[in-house]
Formats: sequence, structure tokens, C-alpha cells
Amino acid sequence: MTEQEAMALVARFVCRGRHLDPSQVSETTNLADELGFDSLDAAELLAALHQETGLQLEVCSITDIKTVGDIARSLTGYASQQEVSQR
Amino acid sequence: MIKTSGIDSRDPVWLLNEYRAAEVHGAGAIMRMARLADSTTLSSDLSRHLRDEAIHAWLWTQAINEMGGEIVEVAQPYQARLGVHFGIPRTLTEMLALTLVSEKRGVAQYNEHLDLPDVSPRIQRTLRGILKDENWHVRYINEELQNRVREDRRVQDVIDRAHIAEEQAITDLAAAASDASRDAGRDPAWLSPAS
Repeated sequence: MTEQEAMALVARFVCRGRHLDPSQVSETTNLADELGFDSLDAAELLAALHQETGLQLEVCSITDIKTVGDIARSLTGYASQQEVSQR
Repeated sequence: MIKTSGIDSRDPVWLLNEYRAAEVHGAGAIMRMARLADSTTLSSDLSRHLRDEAIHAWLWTQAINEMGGEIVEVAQPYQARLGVHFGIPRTLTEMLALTLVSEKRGVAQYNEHLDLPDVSPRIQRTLRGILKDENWHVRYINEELQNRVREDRRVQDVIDRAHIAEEQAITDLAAAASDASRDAGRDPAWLSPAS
């Protein structure tokens, strides 16, 4: 998964149920400050990403999730690690 | 409208506000899980559950109004402590496991309330009605999780982890209630964990 693909995926799930178009969020969109994300929103996002990719991101609290770009980079980084460990 | 108030936490209206807040919070969690449901059965059950949580919140709102009380913001220490000990759930299965322990806690607390002396017939009726729904919530989520255990034994570890987090949350709250009652010189039952 490229970082661009991860960005698109995260943006799609972030916008779901919020009446937002993915084009309205960017890499720097802050989930808590700009979109009002709380721990339930974070849980839904992580679970949706898990369903789509099979990956469980290492997130302990809402403070670990800042921007859309942070999550996308975590996703690509984690996916790369998984690929390496499977070789 | 929800507003901050100087309501005393020893006031029975405060307890009903805690119940109401827990049902509203539950509705938020169930709505998110409904969007993630990966089968028709689960989707249907979660939709019915979402309806129940909304109705329960409405019933507690009505009860508060009839008592002449006001709707206020209340802290939700149980959910907060559960989150501290379990962490943010990262899968639908983890969300279901946390919901199972929360629902069991809700059933226990509503039953404890019913067992108290001098509970008004109005509140007894509401508690009994809600408990019928709550028992079904526990049953269907437990069945869903057991189906998942049959497919993947590791799901049992998730359920066990949720139960451990729940026990830790209750221990924290009991300690906090004991400290608070000692400081205020009153019955810690008033400070029992929110459902």
C-alpha cells in the first residue's frame, strides 16, 4: 500500500457518517481539533481500517491519533513491517 | 437541553442523569458498531440495540422531568476507567467485547437499584422494562462473540482482556468512592459506578 492509497483510505473512513467529502480533508487535517474526533470515533476508524486491511494499528489513546497523515503513515509503515516479517 | 448544574451527587436525580448519560453514550457506541457490522444478523441486532438505547435515554429523561429534575452533564467514570485499562478498541470484535462487559455492568447496576428499599413504583417499572432489553443485549452480544470464538480461538483472549479491564475499572471506582465517602462522611452507595 502506498502512502497515497493509505491517505485515500483514511480520508474515506474519516468522512463516513460526517457529511464530508474526502476532498475536504487533507494530510494535515487534525482529527480532534478540526473534526471533533473522540475515543468512539477513533475506535470506529481503527476498526474500519482493520476490516479493510487486516492491520491493527498500535494506538493506545486518542492522543496517539493526531492528523489524517499520521494515521496513513502508520498504516503504510505497519503494512511494510508486516510484508517484511512475512518474507 | 443539557446544561451544567449545581445538582448534588447525593440527589436521586443525579443517579438518573448518570443512567441517561450512559444510555446516550451507549447509543453512540452502538451506532458506530452498526456501521461496521459484518453480517446481516449483527446489523439487524445492532440496529434494534440502537433503538433500545435511544428509548432508554428517553425513558430516563421522562423520569427526570417527572421528578422535577433537570438534565445535566455528568462525568462517566466507568467508561473512562474501562478505556484506561483496555485502551482504544481497534477491531469490531474488541468493540463487541467491551460492549458485553458494559452491558453486564448495566444489568448488575439496574438490578442493584431494583433491590434497594423505597424505590418508587414509577422507577421500578422503568428499571424492569429496561432490564428486559438489557438482558437481550447481553445475550445476543455473547452469542455473537461465541460464534467468533468458534472461528478464531484468539477472540476468547479479547473477551478475557475486556473482563479484566472491567474488574480493574470497578476496583478503581470502588477505591475512589471509598475515599470520597470518607472525606464527605457519607454512604459510598451514592457514588457507585455509572452504568
